Order: sequence, then structure tokens, then C-alpha cells
Amino acid sequence: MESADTQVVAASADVPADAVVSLRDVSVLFNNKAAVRNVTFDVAANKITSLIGPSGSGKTTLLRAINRLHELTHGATVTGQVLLEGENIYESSVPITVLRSRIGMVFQRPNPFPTMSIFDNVVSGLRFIGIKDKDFLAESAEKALTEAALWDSVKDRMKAPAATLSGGEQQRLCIARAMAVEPEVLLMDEPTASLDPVSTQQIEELTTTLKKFVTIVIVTHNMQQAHRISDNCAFLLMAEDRTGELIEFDTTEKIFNDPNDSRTLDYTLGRFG
Amino acid sequence: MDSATRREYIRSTSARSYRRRAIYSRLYLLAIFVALLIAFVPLASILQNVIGHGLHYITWSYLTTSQQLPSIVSPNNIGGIGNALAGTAIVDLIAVAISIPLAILLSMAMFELRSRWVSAVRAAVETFIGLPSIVFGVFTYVSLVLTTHQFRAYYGSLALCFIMVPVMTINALAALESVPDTLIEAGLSLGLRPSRVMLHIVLPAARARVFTGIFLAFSRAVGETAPILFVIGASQLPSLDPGKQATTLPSLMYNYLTGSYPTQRDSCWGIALVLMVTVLFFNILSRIFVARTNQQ
Repeated sequence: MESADTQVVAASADVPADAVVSLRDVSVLFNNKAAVRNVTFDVAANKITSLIGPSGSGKTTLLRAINRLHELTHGATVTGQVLLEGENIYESSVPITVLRSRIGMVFQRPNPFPTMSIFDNVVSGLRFIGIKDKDFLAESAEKALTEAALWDSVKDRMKAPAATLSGGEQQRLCIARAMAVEPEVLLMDEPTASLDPVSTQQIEELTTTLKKFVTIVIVTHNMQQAHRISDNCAFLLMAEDRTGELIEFDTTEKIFNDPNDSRTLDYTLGRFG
Repeated sequence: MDSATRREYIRSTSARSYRRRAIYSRLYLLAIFVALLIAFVPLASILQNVIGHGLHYITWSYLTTSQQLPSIVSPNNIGGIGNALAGTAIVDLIAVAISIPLAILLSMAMFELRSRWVSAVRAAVETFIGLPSIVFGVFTYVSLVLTTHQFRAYYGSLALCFIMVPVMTINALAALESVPDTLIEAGLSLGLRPSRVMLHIVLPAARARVFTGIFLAFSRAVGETAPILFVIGASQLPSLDPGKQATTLPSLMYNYLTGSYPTQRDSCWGIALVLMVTVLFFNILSRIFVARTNQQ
């Protein structure tokens, strides 16, 4: 993988040194109607950045723009720049498959591949790009499952079908699967929304330890969760024309204790939701 | 292997395989297009032959005058296909009139009852779809024609029902099952009787697919020859009496092709063209209908 050369760095010199992902004036349009517009912020390395806001504010839409998932949707356009270590992923010459392996994603409902075993699920991202070395795969599986705090539970049943795991375990399996391809960024789209409180707490603890390995961007409509685990916070709100906008981006401390915008304060105090 | 090396290995393998797969992707796309072209050749050939040879037969007199028997002195006097059109109309319309209510009622019953019986019935119906249609013709022949010593048009309709009802039922059942459970629950929780829920909520929601199934079955039945061949007899009169014998387009074609007059054999191109246009017409009609239904 080519590292960012001086030419690319010069083109976006306003990117802070520790920013892994930078959004510059990003808008997402569906059939020419904007769902979210003009979002600009930086995602700091090895930190958890949360996107919060009420339903419809464009949080998930924005998240999916970061790993170019909108290209699956007919009629979707993304404008602006999404920079991964200085390089715009929408104009990169790097194959999209490589880009997507650098930016992993975990979804709201755990979605392990139902026909595969636990081991096959975890290494699926590696196997299907052509890595066949058994030792490498076994090593990757153990590493990823350890990072996802699932290794001890499943190490004796790696060949069991993934569907036999509980909801919380399945979500951790999905996290392990995403981590196995060694991404630099992990996008999490409301990962605990469909889980019980115990599993939610386990995943939250897991996320806090994961930031040692990856940079995390998490969408959550549970603002207490954002307060608990995130370092930086982006508050989005739907404007009158039903387009999401970034109202404020700052450290979680500031957003929850002393925000600049009154709307942010209203939201965090639960005055609307 | 440390983390940075692992990353490097994964990225480079991914990049390499991407390039390889991009090439394969283009090749497969090319292969698909070639296969499409190859599959298109017989279709184009059929169209060209039927239209080429049959078009000059299509005149108003051909469509309205009835079949006439040629003789040695006037071998070109074969008349038209008016009697066959009338026969097709009466046989198919009666078949449809019987099949549609039967199929819809059967599919509604299978949908509502949901017992073990239903799986057995479903298996039987699906088997029927796969049976060669001549079996139903033989059955109708033995049970109706041999017992009454008569050929009647509606015997043909009954034979066609055996073919149409299973197809319509399976399609209607799939349509009903595709209606989301939440609609049924909403209807029931308003205090509506299950029969009302079925009639006013489920069936309208499944309308489009049910119609598609009906038109599919109908298109199939229009072109059926084997089942009706031995049971409807033949008639040179354009009669619409279902109790009398009748000739349909497919049965006329069969009789002409197995007859001894080359003029008759040749006019089969015209009959084939009429059949093709009829099926096309109903196909377009059903699509317009479904599109209108979906718009609502």
C-alpha cells in the first residue's frame, strides 16, 4: 500500500496530523435530494468518534459514505471529500475492495454469514481475497477473536455454525470478522441497538479496548452510550427541509457539559429526541 | 508476523486478486452476452418464419369465414379459420370461468387452513403442474367421451381446467403468502372476521401476482392441443354451443398438418401467426393490468 506522498499531503494541508479520516464538505444525495449536507470534521486516530442526533438526522447515511457503501444504491451521489490518511477515497486509484478492507463496518443487526462456521466467518474476509495459508488464517482468527473478547468462549467450537451463538456473541463475531482484515478504521452503525443490556455493556467495554487497535466511528441514537464511550462527538440534526446538518463537533466533554449551540444542549438534556 | 507486515500482506493480496477478478468479470460478462445472442437465434428464426410465411394469410375473410373442405377439383378451397376462432373462444372462456374461481377458492382455503392436509394438497397440485397435458386429455376422453359417446366443446374446457387450476392455485397461494403478516394482524385487531380480512385486505394486496398467475395459465391453455384433441371432436361451423363439437386453433392446426392437402398444411403458418399474436396480446394486456394495479 503506497503511503501518502508529499503531493497528496500538500493537496489537503489542512488535515491535522492525527486525523485518520477527514470529511470535507460531504453531502449525500438520493435522487438529487440531499439527505445530509456540508459535513466537515476530522476523526482522530485511535479515538472513538460518535455521531449522535435524533432519527432522520443523517447519521447512518453519513457513516455509509465513509466506506463508499452508497454506491450500492441506485440514484445515490456523494459530493465533497472523504479523506483516508490524506487521500480522497472517492477519487483514489486504489481498488475499492482494498479501500473497503481498510475501513471495516459493523451493522445494527448482527449478520454473521448463516451457512458458515464461526471460524469460516471470522476468516471470510481473508479467505475470499485469496489467502489460503492455513497458519495465517488460524493466527488471524485467534487474534481477531481475542480482540473481540470472544476467543475464550468459542475456541473449542470453532467449527460450530455461527447461528448457534447468542445475539451479543454474534455481534462480537461480526466485530472479529471485521477486525480480521486489519482495518485502520471501524465504522459501527448502532451496534447495540438490537441487543439486551448485558450484551450492550459488554460491547461497550469491548469498543473502549478496541480503540487501541483501530479508530472507531460509531453511530448511536442512545446518547448516554455516546457519553459513556466516545472521545469526540458530532451532533447532527435534520433542518426544516428535511436534510441533516452537522450542528456541532467537539470533544464529548464539551458537547455534553458546555455545548456552543443551544440545540445541542436541548438534545443532550432530552428536551427533544 | 507483526501487525504492519500482516496488513501489508492482506492489502497486497487483495490488490492482486482484484486485478485478476476484474479481468474475469469482463470475460464472464462477454460470455453472458454471447450466450444471449445464441439463445436469441432460434427465437428470431421462429419469428421470421412464422411472420414471413403466415402474414399473407391474415385477411378479414380468412379470420371470419369458416373452414371449408377442399376436394380434388378445388384443392385450394380451404376457407378460413372463423370456426376455429369461435371454438377457441368458447372452449377457453368456459375453462377460464371454471378455473379462476376454483383456483382462488382453493388457494384461499390452503392459505387459511394451514394444516398438514395442506402440504399434501400442495404436493399434489405441484405434481399436476408437471404432468404432460395429454394425460388429462386421456382421462377426460375415458371418463366423458366414452361414457356419453359424444364429443362436446365443454369436455375440452374441463380438460383445460386440469391444466389451468394447478398453475393458478400455486401462483395465487404464493401471492397470498407474500402479503406481510402485519396487514393480517392489523385487520384482525380492528375486530374484522378472518373472512373479511382475507377478502378485503389480503386478496387486494395480492391482486397483482394473482392476475399474473391467471394470465400465465391462460396463455398456456390457449396453445394446448393434446388434451382437447380427443374430446372436442371437430366442427366446421362457427357455433358457440358448448354442448356441440368444436374446433380450436390448435386442433385445426393438428388436423391440417396430418391431413393430405398441401394447401391446408401451408395455411398452418397463418394459424400459428394468429396464435402467436393472441398470446402476445394477452401477455401485454396482463402487464398493463398489473402495472395499473401496482400504481394504485
